[in-house]
Amino acid sequence: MRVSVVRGGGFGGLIRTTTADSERLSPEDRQTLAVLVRQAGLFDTAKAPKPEEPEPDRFTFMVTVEDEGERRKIGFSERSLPGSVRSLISWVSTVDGHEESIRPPGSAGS
Amino acid sequence: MAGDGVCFIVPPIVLVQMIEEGSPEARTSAVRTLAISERVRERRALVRRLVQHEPQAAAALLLPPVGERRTVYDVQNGSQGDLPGLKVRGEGEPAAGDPAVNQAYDGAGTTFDFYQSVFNRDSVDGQGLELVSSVHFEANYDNAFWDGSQMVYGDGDDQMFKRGGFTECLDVIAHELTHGVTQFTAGLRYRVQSGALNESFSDVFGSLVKQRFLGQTADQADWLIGEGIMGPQLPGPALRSLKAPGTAFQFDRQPGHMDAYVQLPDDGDPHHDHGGVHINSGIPNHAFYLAATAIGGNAWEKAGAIWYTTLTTRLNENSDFQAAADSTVAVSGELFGAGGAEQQAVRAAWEQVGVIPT
Repeated sequence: MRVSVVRGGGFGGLIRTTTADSERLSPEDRQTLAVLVRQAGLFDTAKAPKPEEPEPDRFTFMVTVEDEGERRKIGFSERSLPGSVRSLISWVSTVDGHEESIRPPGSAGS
Repeated sequence: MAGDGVCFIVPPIVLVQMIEEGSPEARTSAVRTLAISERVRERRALVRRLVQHEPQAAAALLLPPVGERRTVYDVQNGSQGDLPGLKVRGEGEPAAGDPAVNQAYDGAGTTFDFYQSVFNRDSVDGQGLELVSSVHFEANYDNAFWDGSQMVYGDGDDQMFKRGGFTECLDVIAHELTHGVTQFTAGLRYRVQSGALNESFSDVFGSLVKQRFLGQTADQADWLIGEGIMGPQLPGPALRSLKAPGTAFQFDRQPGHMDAYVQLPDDGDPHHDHGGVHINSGIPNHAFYLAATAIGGNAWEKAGAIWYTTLTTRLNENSDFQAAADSTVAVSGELFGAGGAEQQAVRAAWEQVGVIPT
């Protein structure tokens, strides 16, 4: 299982990508990741969240989950971010073995 | 009945009707009931309506007394639903033990004072809106924002941004409060060119508030945004530079000219920054720097006045760079004389960044 979170916007306007890949996590963290993904309900989302008017210096998120051949990619505004998804994002950003990169908008490698 | 966490014995809308149409006793009672509403945003909307119909009652009972301009809250690492949080410091109260509270308090005051003294503007909405600030939003939250009715500050994560940095930095505070000014005036939509302009006005006035506070002329100013908040993941002195876009820190890729305008779709993808609002703001930012330094003296006096008048009376939600250039050129002629040095400086600035063809 692989979870990738792209966060853009904010005062800095920078793009931060954090990824947690099961293969790089401890067995315990592998389990936690699976639980958090399930609780976030990302594979259950039947419809896309409706587009909202962007707000100044708030974050925008895109969460991609890949698991056993299935892939789901969902966007959230900071204001509409469900608590379960926030928990997943927060955990992915800090777990031992996660990868992280920061770059400005418009640079290569999106 | 309850709504959004606030219990009203009588629905707010009925209270307003009582104030507008009721007997003097009913009126006084209704006004008092409204005054104890804890939900600041709702109260503010109702107060505005009240002010239209019963201005004296509103002034006497509901609006903050003169000088009651700022309140700082601690949201105690809570989230959106917990705002504003626990009240820590009201207007005129002594310094709190928490430096973040005092910095938010002072920064809001300095920004309020700037708009009041320089442009005779009474708070972000021009009508004395109480400046509410909440500190310690979420945990390691590396951001600050104006949420439409109040300021919200995170603590920073000590990786991208220094812990405590957002409240320490006056230009950050003024940048965010200026989003409030824009909201109540031009309403520039936060996307593509209107969004880049929205960002630029916040950087411009963020810098001007700092310059006036430090008593710096246009020549003396550093024209940096976010100096001193940069964490170890973002090597460099500051986040943005109006003087030299693209040079503030290692990942600064702001253009300073239309030739380098970054075309990005406004599609909600976080990679695209709503069409590059934080990137392309470098162009109008640089135009302001060029105009202000060509005019000379204190940048907030002439260049600032031109930009302020443009933002608050000429632009609309869809204005683009061309509209901003045309308006600032026109306004500079109106304020300081057609064909004068100021107008020439403004036109030359927009030509230099490639918005006005030469």
